[in-house]
Amino acid sequence: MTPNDDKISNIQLCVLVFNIVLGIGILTLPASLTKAAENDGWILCIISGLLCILSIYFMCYVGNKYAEYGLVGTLKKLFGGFVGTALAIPIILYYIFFCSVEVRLFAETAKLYLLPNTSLEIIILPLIILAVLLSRTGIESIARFFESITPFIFFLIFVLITVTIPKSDYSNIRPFLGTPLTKLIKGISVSIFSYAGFEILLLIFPYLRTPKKAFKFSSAGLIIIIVFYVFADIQCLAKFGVKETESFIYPTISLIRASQVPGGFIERLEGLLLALWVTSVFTTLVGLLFSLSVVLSDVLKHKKPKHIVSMFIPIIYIVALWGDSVAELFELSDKLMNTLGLYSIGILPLLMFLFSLFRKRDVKKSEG
Amino acid sequence: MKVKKILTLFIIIVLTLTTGCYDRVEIEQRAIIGAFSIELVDEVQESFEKADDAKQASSDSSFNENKNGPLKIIFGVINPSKLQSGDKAFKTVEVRGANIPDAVEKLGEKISRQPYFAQMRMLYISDKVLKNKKVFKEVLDRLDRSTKINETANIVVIKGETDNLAKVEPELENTIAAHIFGISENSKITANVSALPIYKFLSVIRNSDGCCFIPVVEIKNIKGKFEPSIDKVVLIKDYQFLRYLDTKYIKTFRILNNDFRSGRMLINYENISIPYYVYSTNKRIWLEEEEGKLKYKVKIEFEGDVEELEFGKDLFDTQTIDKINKAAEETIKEEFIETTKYFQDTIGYDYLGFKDFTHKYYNKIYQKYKDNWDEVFKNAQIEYDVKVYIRRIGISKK
Repeated sequence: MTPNDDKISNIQLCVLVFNIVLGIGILTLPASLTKAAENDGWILCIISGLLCILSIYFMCYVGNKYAEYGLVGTLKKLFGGFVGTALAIPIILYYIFFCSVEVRLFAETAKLYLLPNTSLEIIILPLIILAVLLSRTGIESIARFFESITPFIFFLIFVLITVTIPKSDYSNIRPFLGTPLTKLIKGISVSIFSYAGFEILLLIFPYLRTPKKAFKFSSAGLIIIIVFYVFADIQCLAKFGVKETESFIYPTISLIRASQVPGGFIERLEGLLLALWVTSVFTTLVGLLFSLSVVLSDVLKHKKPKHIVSMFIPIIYIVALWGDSVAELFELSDKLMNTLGLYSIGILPLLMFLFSLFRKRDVKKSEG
Repeated sequence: MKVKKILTLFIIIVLTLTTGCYDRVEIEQRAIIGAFSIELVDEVQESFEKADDAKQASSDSSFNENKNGPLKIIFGVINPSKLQSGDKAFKTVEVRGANIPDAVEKLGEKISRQPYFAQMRMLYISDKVLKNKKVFKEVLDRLDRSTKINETANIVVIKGETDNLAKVEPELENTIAAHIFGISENSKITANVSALPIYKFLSVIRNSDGCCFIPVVEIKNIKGKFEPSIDKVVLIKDYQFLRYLDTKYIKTFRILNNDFRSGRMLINYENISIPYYVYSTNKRIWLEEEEGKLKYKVKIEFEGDVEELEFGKDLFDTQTIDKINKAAEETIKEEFIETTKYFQDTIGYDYLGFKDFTHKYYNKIYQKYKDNWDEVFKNAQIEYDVKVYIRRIGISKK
């Protein structure tokens, strides 16, 4: 029987990573990939996915070594009390802005496609409240909720994949590797952040039953996402070609809008995609809020993260309403990812990994 | 505990009574638009030509809204309650507007329901719109930007007056849109009819920088009856009308553009026009570059059935089938050569997909010639190798 100890199993970790990462990129990614690397966007998607797996390896290496300390505890162990705490502050800011951008993007998309007359505030507020409610309940309940909706998400993705395949021209993904190498390398910075969310691994280790297998299962979760993203990109190219895919804000919705069920017994399939999007945004938000509460409670040395998370309802709500237009929102999102995102996904895990290597030697020396 | 109960109640109230309610529209409040046509009114077109200034045409005061905008849009509004009864189940509403959203706004002033485009089947564009680049690009932008218009609806160009469209009396369908949509969907089984969904049209025109083709509906007055037919296409160059493509080239044009699914071809064999029904084609192209000139070798394979010969003549014989195969190969090859010559010499632009093919499969060569592609295409040497397979001959031997 599964013990009720607020810890999660490996499968739950895989599901957790999958659900948190899925959400931000799925609707917008093919456009940014195509802008960065034209026909080779899908190759870019794979390369950046592999780099993310490398980052996961760093996180898991450090996490395994200091499994019981959590993120802030590990940082303090590696860099000392003051520096360790200071290094955790950007992570907190990152989670606050990430949550806000996610919520606002969700609201803008919902307003454009589903609820044109509903005010933005009314779309945003219930989502934040519900996400806060779930994230207050602890990692085990969150993981169980994610587990229960994952089959539904897979089913929707399967249906959507099936309907988009007919009338596609796969020759549109040619010419292969026609993009200059420098452009491809620059594009990595665009695509790598579409996998943002897996940095929950920085702080999840105290909540794992078997931390040793964390790398295997969290990578599996990310690999599923890579496959979905590659498919979405190839499919958009096959349906619309390079220039049209690049011109869309939400190419994946346009892809579904352009698809028909043979026989035509059901139309307007973007409703299904948006149902998937609502669920995946919700799961991402829950994961981010939980992460935020854990890091902040560690920094503040507060024992109950759930108290912290409720305080963030007004902050996230206000920050979410910052951007004036969709264009400004995307700009803000890019800035966020290029600074705080880069720090959380790339710089910090690498620093932690390198410092943990030195620590190992220090320990051995002192033992000797 | 009390706080928790109040909080839960608050959340339930917020979730059930607010989200989504702003957007509730009952189905009987919707005006389902089956199709709409866009035309540029004559006097405005003239003023465009003179001044090339949309403002002058659409507005004469500081208010941008103008009752008589340059576009005449006719909406075909479906009446769902009449769909089952077999009566004429639509109403046409004519609106003048500065652009499509303006016309939709004005439609709301004329009908009692909210316009709903999600079930739209057809979009008709007048050839006059195509002849005005500025207006055409505005229309394109609206189609590409809108979340409301059904992108799987088919787009066609109306040759002549769009008013004639309303005079069509569909006999097998309840609406004109369903009638014309049905004809265009017959592109799956006929050689000369082509169908173009809006999303595909937008992709092609953007990817090729304003160079594409659109199927044409021609409404002919036959003994007082207005009958639509789709057996032509219009060629667009640089977001502007270039010319109509004659029906005789459509079949080969569609095959070269990978738009042909199945259809009938007539083969001249011993003074009999044999109907050869093609149900699959396979096209392969090879390219060589020689002294700055491109040489294409196009191999096209056809699979299909012979549907008739002559009563009493033995068709259940491999020699006869071989002879018909040869005759078919000759005829079809000639058709391809003639079509290519027409595009190289008369039209002068590559509408046959060679540019796209070269870019995808011979990118290095393409990069060398891409800035001067039209000239390269005109001078390219294109050879055809046609292979015809007759698979079935029906159920009779003679």
